[in-house]
Amino acid sequence: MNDLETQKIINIDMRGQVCPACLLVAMDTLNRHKEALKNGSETLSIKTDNREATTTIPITAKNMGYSVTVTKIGSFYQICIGFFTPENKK
Amino acid sequence: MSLEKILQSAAYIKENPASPLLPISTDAKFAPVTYFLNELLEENRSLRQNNETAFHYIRQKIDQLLLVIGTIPLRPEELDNATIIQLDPIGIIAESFTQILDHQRQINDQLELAMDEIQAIFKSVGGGILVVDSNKKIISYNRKLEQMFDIKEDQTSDLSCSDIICKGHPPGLCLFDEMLKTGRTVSMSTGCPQDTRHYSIVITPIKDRNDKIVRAVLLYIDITELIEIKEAVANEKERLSLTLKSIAEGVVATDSTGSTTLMNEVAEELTGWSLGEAMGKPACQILNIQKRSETHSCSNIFKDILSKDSTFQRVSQTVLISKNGKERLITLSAAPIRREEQSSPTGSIIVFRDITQEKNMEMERIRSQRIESLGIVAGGIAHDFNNLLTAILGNISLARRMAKDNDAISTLLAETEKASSRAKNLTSQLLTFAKGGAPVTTLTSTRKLIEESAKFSSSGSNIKCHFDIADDLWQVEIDEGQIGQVIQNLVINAGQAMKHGGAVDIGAENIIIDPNDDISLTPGKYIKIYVKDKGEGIANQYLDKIFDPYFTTKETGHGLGLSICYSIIKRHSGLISVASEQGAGSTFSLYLPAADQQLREQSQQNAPTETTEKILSGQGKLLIMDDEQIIREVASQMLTYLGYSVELAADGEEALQKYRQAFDQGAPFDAVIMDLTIPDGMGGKEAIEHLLRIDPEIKAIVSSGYANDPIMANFKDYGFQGVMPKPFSMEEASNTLKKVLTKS
Repeated sequence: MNDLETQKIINIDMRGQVCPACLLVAMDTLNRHKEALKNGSETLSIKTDNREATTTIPITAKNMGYSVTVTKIGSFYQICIGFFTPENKK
Repeated sequence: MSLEKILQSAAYIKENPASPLLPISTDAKFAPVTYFLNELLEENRSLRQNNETAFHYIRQKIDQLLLVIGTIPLRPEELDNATIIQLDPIGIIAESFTQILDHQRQINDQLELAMDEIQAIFKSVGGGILVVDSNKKIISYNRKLEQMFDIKEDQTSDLSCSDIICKGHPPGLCLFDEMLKTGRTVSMSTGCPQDTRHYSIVITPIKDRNDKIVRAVLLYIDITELIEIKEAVANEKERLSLTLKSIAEGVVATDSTGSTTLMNEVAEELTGWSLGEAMGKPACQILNIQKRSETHSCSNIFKDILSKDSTFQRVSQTVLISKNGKERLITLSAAPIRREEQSSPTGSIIVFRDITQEKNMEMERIRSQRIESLGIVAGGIAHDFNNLLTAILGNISLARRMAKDNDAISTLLAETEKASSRAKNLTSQLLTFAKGGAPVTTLTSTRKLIEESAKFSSSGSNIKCHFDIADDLWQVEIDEGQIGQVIQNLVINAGQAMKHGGAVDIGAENIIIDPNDDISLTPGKYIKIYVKDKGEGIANQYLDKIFDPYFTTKETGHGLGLSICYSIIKRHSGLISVASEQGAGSTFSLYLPAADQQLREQSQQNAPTETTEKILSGQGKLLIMDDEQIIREVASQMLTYLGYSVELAADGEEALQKYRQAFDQGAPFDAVIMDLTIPDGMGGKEAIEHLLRIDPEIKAIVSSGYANDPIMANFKDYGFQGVMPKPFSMEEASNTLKKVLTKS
């Protein structure tokens, strides 16, 4: 159900925006896609260039029970949020 | 002011809240409008103020919530009021809190479950658990710990762990302190002693978010029984190891696949493999057994032993080849190891014994017995022959005297006498082999003896002797004449083996025979003399027979040389052995026991007496005692011819009677010649004792066909004045008599 082939990725590009607006947008998306994210059919991928967002978004998402990874890609960060199993973590 | 102007002013005042309200119009027509507009403007100002207050409150709440979430407040320029309404941050945060709370609830549920699990473990675990804070103050413990250390519940308030557990232990050995130092789990599995029990201890730190140790869990497990069992196993192992070490047999144990699991020191020595090397290797690789037949191959022995219905197996004799190629004769037995009867073997035990030395000794014993039996026969024949030869030689001597004018008869008799002399030499050799005579031993330094004997035998031949004799050669107590004869024989043999001449290596060295040596000798100090030729060697099938009398591969020779050597060395409590390779030569080795004493002056008693070939006539009254009539007759004739008057006796009793009678009548015998042994009667040895009592001055001569009898060698010790080995010629008889009679 939640393998990488069928998983839907919600992409949000928040480059140029700062916290807490970024956090609010992320939280709003997490709220609206709660079911799909928790059953693993969707994951959320956020692109941000705000360093603070790379701390606030993961902490909040973890408090909500999600798994989070932060990857630096060139000039921005990619924050992936969802329910990862060891197989689809990468 | 027109209405239009009033409305324009009102619009301006609405947008500029600091500006005063509209002036009341002087025109009565617009006064109510102005008044109404001012009321509206005031209400508008009030509403705006309320709106501002509300948004300010909303922003404050949003910032408060954002701070709770863990981020910074909203900046006013970031979102305007309209966007705030549109975005609904409070709604978002509230919804997020729902998720956070859901998640917390789940975590709480899991925590409660985990707590229950921990409690269950705490109660049911087989070890005692103690929880302490970072100052070792007891926080909690389980029932098992209570039982282990007999703790009363009311005792432990404000106590630290050392008050109830490590009582009396030196403070430097606290495992808890070690855990604090390392920050990691520490354990002691060797067993911490407490009263009469032993405990294994594991201390695990519990850390807070800042990695600071706040508590520790101590797990105590009573391992007293384990330690006791370990000790018992170690003792049992030690006992087994000592048993295996102290037995003379090699022992190898295998698992069910035939791989080596154990071997003792003897097995290591016999196989040439150390336990370390052999461990896990197939036992058949370690036990390299020479295959005599398919049934006796190592793999077959194991196949049988490790099969389900296997029983004990024994291989009586087989050859074990060690790792370094040394071959040993062994007996081997193999048995399966079973935990229960009927079950398949879990392994096997192979016990084997080196019987090389035993076998060698048995062969040597058989050879010795065989040669001894032959010796008895040879000795008997030689004795009888000597008696006959005495008569023959005596008669020839007489006949030669009588025929002195007849050249033809004299020549024939001389030839016959020569042949008889050779026969005499042969019986003499036979006797040396048969009895050897108890060797008349003197403490000797063998260097001179070896060199002189070898040179004597090699002189005039085309062989050259090379000597390698140790300077510090131990002394030996030997009969020089006999050992000299052995060395001469061996050197002569070496010369004969090398038809075209060459070098014979002769050496001597000290050697200590160890109980483990595969040599049939009593352990101790020996000297080893070897004679090594590079001749044609001895064929393998003859090696066992070369010491047998009359065994020879030479066209000339009697086959007595090596038999005599064997016999002489045996009588010296030594050993003669041979190693030979056909085409490469032979090495004969003599082992002679070293003597403890210092060299003493050689006794002159047995120095050979020179004989002259001249017949010396004499006179006097003689008594001859011999059981053989022909001897009595020929001796009587010879001595009568020499000028003596002769009386005869057939045994000791008769001789005693005749001597006493003559002595009593005052006409005693001048000398008595007595045979040493008389079958079924009194011989010379007993008769001399009686005769000495009659006449202590008696001149008695002992005669015997056993020329090498110890009495013949040491005749003076028995009261005789002379010795006359049979056969004796007229010259020898006349000389001996002359010597004895002229003695005062």
